[in-house]
Amino acid sequence: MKDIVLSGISKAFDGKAVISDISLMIKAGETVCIRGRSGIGKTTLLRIIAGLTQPDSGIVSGVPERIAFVFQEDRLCEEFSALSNVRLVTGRAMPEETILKHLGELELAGSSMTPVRDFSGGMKRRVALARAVCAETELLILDEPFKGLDFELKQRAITYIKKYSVGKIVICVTHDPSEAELMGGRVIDLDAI
Amino acid sequence: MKKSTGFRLIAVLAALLLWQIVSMAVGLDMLLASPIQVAHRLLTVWHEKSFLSTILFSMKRVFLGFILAFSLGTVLGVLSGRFKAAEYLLWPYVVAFKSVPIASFIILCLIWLSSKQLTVFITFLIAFPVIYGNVLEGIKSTDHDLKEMCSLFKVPWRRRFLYVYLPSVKPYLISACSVAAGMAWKAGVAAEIIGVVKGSIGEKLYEAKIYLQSADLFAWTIIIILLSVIMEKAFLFLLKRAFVEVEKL
Repeated sequence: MKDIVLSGISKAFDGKAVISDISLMIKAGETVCIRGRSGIGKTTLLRIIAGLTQPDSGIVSGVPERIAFVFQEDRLCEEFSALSNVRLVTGRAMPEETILKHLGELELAGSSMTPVRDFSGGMKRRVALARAVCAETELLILDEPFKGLDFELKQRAITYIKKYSVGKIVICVTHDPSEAELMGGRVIDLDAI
Repeated sequence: MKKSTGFRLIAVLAALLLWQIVSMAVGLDMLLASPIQVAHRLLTVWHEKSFLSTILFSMKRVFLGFILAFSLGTVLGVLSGRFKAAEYLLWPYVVAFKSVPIASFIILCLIWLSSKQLTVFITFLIAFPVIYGNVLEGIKSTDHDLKEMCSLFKVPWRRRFLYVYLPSVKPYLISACSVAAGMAWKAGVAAEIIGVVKGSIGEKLYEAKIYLQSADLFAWTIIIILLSVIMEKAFLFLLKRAFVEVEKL
């Protein structure tokens, strides 16, 4: 696995600069929390790293081919169960028992066969987390992953992510300093760049 | 009983009463049979030797044409939704199917094919653009966020189709099948009348016209409506069941 290097990244939308000349390096296996005020371009930066948005200038290198992403929106298939939503990305490569174990670790074992349209916001968030972790990628990108979770569930979710992300690059965007602290790793404050 | 059902029932009874009054005013059964005469004809028509074979003859062909339209419309709709080139390639055919008068197709079909194949062909021509257009619309309206998520996670096309595209197509396909099933019967029987297809329901309607048997005309019309409703409901039931099974995956 390589280091991820961003050199001179800039991006503007409708002529308004969102990211201006950002350069940073994320080492292989490192966990990084990105903070900053609203509208500073945290999500845009994540999207540029994932290759979902093209920067106006600058270079991104070292991004692995397989990426897992917890988007700000849950982006779940509402008609399908939690198990199916995870299976969408794993296919048959991951046995059903393993997926159920993952869902159980996020307190979703009892609801694994329920269509996610019947889930609360917090439950959907945890399904999105399980889906990203089960995708078994080298890079895990998390955009406000603990939104809608109470403190206890947040702690459980962080423990879960840390357990399964050993050796992976984890990039997490959060507003909450306590979340960044619990996640561990380096904190990058976009306001200070 | 719901209030709206009650009102509808009253409206139907009022319409039947109006029909009876107009029929009595006309005073000629051959021009306008009364509802009572039609009801009587309905009770006797199924005793006829050819009744079942006539119904099966038309039903088989309308259903075959509809199933062909459903299969091809769904497959090509999905293809066109995925590949813009396919949509462009199919565009002239879909426009032609939609805009060319059905009578022109019937005449053309009578020149090319046997009259027995006419019903299948015309039913297909009428139902295909409805199903194709709706499936294409369903594919196009698929949630962009979900598509982006699938691309990022590199979800294979088969799974992407089952989990993301199919739920998006579902309401469009159900509504298309509901409309197309009714249209298929209308067009199929119209083709049978114009082509005077032997042994078909269309032939019965044609005979009713020739011999001025308006009671027969109304009785067979009611039978067509019933067959159309039965086909629509049965097909939609099976389609919805199929979607439920897919969602359980």
